[in-house]
Formats: sequence, structure tokens, C-alpha cells
Amino acid sequence: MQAVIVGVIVAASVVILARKLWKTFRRRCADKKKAEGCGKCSGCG
Amino acid sequence: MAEQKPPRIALVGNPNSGKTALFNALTGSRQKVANYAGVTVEKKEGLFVSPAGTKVRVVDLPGTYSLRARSPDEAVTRDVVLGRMDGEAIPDAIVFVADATNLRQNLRLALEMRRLGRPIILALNMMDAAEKQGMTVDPAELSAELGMPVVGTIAIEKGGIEGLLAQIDRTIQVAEVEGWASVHAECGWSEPSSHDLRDYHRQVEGILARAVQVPPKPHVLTRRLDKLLLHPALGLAILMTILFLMFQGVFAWAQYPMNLIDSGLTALTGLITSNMADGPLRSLITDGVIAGVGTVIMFLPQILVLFLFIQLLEDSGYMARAAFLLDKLMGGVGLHGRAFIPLLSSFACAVPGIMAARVIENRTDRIATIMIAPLMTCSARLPVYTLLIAAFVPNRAVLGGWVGLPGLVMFSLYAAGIISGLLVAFVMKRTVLKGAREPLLMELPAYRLPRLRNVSLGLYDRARAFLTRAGTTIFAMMVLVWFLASFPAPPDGATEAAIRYSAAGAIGHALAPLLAPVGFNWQIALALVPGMAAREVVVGVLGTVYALSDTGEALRGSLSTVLAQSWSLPTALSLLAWYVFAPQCLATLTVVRRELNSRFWPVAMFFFLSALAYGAAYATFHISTWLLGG
Repeated sequence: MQAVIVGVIVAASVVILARKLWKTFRRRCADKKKAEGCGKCSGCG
Repeated sequence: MAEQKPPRIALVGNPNSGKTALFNALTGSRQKVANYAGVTVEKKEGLFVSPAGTKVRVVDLPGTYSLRARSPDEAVTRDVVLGRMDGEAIPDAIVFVADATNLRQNLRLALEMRRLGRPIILALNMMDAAEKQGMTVDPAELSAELGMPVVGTIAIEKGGIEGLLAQIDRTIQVAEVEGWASVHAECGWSEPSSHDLRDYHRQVEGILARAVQVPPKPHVLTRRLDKLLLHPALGLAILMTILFLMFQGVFAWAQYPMNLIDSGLTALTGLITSNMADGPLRSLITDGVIAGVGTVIMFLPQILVLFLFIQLLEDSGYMARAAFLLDKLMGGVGLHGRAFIPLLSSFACAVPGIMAARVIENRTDRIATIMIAPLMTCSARLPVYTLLIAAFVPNRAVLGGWVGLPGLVMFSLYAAGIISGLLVAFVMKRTVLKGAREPLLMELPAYRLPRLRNVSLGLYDRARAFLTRAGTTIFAMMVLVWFLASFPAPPDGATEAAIRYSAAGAIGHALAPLLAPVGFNWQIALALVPGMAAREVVVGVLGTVYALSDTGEALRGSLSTVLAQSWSLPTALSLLAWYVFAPQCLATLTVVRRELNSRFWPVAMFFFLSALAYGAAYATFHISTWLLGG
């Protein structure tokens, strides 16, 4: 049971990191965020 | 079509006139506000519903002194106001935000804006400060003189917002009756000639004479404080003392809450270990999440103390003075005086710091500022410094018992970053980025007491951002690091700690020869890899790696104790020297690419900072080994 839960958490973490990496490098997305004025960036959360 | 979409108003005005405070008051947003020019460098958009029930879009723009736009942030304002921004309609109306205490300068831009022929409302902001200074402004007279409605506001306290909203409703109603198409058709602008500028100046003097009464000696407190704080020698000494106290405070004040978090984490680990069956989930929670993410969270109090100081200095109006004081020093190495604010922002994070460099007009000055921004110690490096200082620097008083040694070392590390940055700028401005030095023209805001609400909200936002990052990115990274450090499992009959046989162990050992000359072991080599995405993760990775390296006997205790037992002093000093330059931050490199629209500069930045980091760590390691007789 512990192994199954760990598997799910590890898989979810990989997805979170992949999304984060995708957002960092995808310029169009970053520019869109800037235009919406969220004032945040991948660097300081 | 503008008729179908909600009307869109633009907030325009001089820097530091309170546009963002007004934007926050209108939309309920919490964008950063501070008492110096150049806080906003890009447009921000929000939505509110007026008392008449109309949805209104509002766009907050960087401050400017004229639509002629000399720097990239001012160009954003010009392009939005004139409808030159790609894919964006021209704003339907303008709310011109003027600082009531400085109308002579603010009204010049108001007159320039009036020539656009657009619906415009003058929000006379900071009315409370004007009254305190003994000024009397007649809004009705001002309105008649300017030919636009005038509403008094105190944006930071949401004062006068109802009046402004009612005026926005009236302006929209009039525009709807006349038809938006006719409003848009009237827009026209040409760069004002010197004759126009002189004319504006004359008009402003006339308007002020008729609508504003100014006391004979305005704002005595600001003048008196400036005599002391802007003194070439005394002012610099006061600035250094403030910065020094800041780093002493970071250590002294944060100690109790840090110990509390540490005890909580230890108790939690004990609770889980004694109540949960041994297995991968228990290991993930204790060795991955608590030892990894928990170690990072422990540094939240220090980060908050650092930002408390910065927030107080920003709100009081002192930051602009610090820029003024350091202009001579900055000029000496070829940097523009305006570089101070971007460099200061970089102490929080290099990303907003690099974006703040848009206030610098000259491109070579801007590139030089951007290239040294990562040398200012960002808050993500604070946990690394603190951990190593706690492990290797004795907590005792020096210099006659007045100064704590850990705080002194921390101050020296920050100073090393600043001095290195200035040296790099000095070299760059004399080689690849040659250019004439331009004088600093900077508006010094009036001093004011920091507002509790603004300071608390700033700290709350900082804590939330830090915890969100710890709970998402850092959590996910630590789970992955734990996974890589736990699998594959050790073979039968293995004699060393399990991590030695894992994927992470293999990666660490593969990288170790590259970093062995600077004294780094395989654990540090491994920690530097995820540290590229978030520098503070290095601390978390070391927590997890050493928790998993524990063979059950010696290595129990806080991470700093473990490091003190496992590393030599030269290795710790070498890692500190490495982190002064710390070139490995993907977010920083990405934003450099975006801001300079060039692939060359981020690549150049990565390589020159890597070379500096390696060189500094190498020299530190070998010199300290030689001095210690190792």
C-alpha cells in the first residue's frame, strides 16, 4: 500500500516539475502572464 | 469592438504618484507599492464594477514624465496610451494620477495628456500629505483651469475612491451618449517641441498661482532629514550602519522562531517514526519531505526579517536617498545611478530586479546592470548561507562584544557579492559595454512613516509566495530527489549507506571529479543540479541526502550539526564563495533572454558567472586549506 501511494506522489511530482519547466521556457506563455499582470515570475513564486 | 467589451481606463501619471495604490484600491488587487519612483515597469490589468453596475477594465501603467518615452518602461505607457501596443485597443478614458504635493511637475504631463483629446479625469492623489505640508488645493478651480474633472484621493487608504468611481461612471455615460467611435477618433499626439514644453511650464505656473496655495517653507522635516541623510560622509556612514543592523537582525531576531520550527519538525519526525510502519512512504515523509522541504521552510523567519527591513526602508522614502548616496560609487564603476533600484530588487530575486532595469534608458547601461544583477545575493541564497554559517561559524560576540560573528560573516558575504558586481561592471563598462556616463536625475520622495497595513501585506505576500513555492516546486523536487536517492535499492550484502547505490548516488559520483578541485564532495555536486531550478533546494537536497546516508548511528541531529561533522572548514568556505556568484538559476537566464531579446547575453552570463564561481571557490578552498595547515 505504501509503495502505491509513493508511486502516485512521485508521478504527480514529475508532472508538476514538467509543467513548471514548460512554463519557464515557453516564451509565449510567460509574455501572456506578463500581459495579464500577475506580477509574478517563475523565479520568485 | 469597444462597445461590446467593458470600457477600459488607463492610469497614467508621473512616477511615484500613487497609480498602483489607486489600481489596488479600485480592483482589490495587491500589486507592490513603495515610496520611490520606478516600482512599476510593466502594465497590469484588472477589473472592477462601478457603482452604476458597469464592468470597467483598468490598466496600471509605469510612471512617465512625458509621452516622449526615453526608457523601455516609459515606452510601455506611451504605446498603451496611444494605442500602438500590438493587439490592444486604445484606452477609452484616462485617469491621470497626480501627486498633490508635487503639482508643478505632475501638471506638465497632465497638459500633454489633455492634448490627446480623450476623456480624462484628474485624480489628485496624496491629498493628506499635501494638507500636512500646509498646501491648499482648490479642486474646482483646478478643474476649471485644466478643463477636466478633478477628484481628491488618498489611494493608499482608499480615500476618495467613491468620488472617483462616481466620476468614472459620469465619464462613461457621456462617452456612451456621444458614441465611443467619436471618442476614439479624436485621439492625436505629436512629440512636444521645446516651444510646447516652455508653454506647458508657463501654463502650469499660472494654474498653480490660481488654484494652489503653498506655505512659504514647504516640508521642513524632509529638508532637515535630507541634510543629515544625504551628507556625503555622514549619509554613507548611516547607510552602512542600517545595512549592518539589517544583517545582525536577520540572525538575532529570527533565531527563536527558527528553533521553534526545528523542534516542531524533529517532533513530527519522531511521531511518524514511532507510529508508522517502516516502508517507502515513511521514508518519503521523514527523509524526503521533512528533512528536505522542512529544512527549507525553517528559513522563512530570516527571509521575513530581511524583507521587513527592506519594506520599512522602501515605505519611508529612504531607498531613493540610498540610490542618490551611491550614485558617485556607481558612477565610479560606470554604472548609471538608476541601476541602484534594479540591483536592490535583486536582493529579493534577480528576476524582478532584471525587469526593473527597464527604468534605465541607455541600452549598454541596462545590459551592464542586468549582467551584475545575479551577483546581488537573492533571498534564495539566504538559507544556504545561514546553514553553513550555523554549522561552521561560532555564535559569539566580536568587536568588543557589540557585534555577533554570524551576522558579521553574513554581512561580509552580501558585501562580497556587491563588490564583485561593481568590479564586473567596472571591467564591462571599459571593454565590451563602453559608453558615456549619463547623469542621474531622480525624484526624491517626501519621507513618511511606513504604513502598518502596507508592511504587513508585503510580508504576508512574501511568506505566502515562499510557502507556495515550498509546497509545490520544492516539494515536487524533493520527492524526486528522494526517489532518485532511494532507488535502485542496495544489492544484497551491501556495506555502505543505501544512497551510495542509488541513481542519485551515481549522479553525484559522476559529477564529483568535476568539482573535487574546489573541495566539493559528491553530495554537494548532486545538490547543485536541482539547485539550478531553485537555489534554496540545495539545502533541502543536503537534508534528504544526509538523512538517507544515516547508517543508524552518528548522523542524528540538525543538518548544520551533521555538516559540521562531515565537511571540512575549507569545503564549507568554498561552497559559500561559490554561492556568492551562484550562476545556476534557470529563471534568471530565461528572463535575461526575454528582457534583452538576445541569446548571447544569457549564455555569456552563465559562462562568466560559472567561471567566477569556480575560480572563487577554488581559490577559497586552496588558500583556506593552506592557512589551516590541511
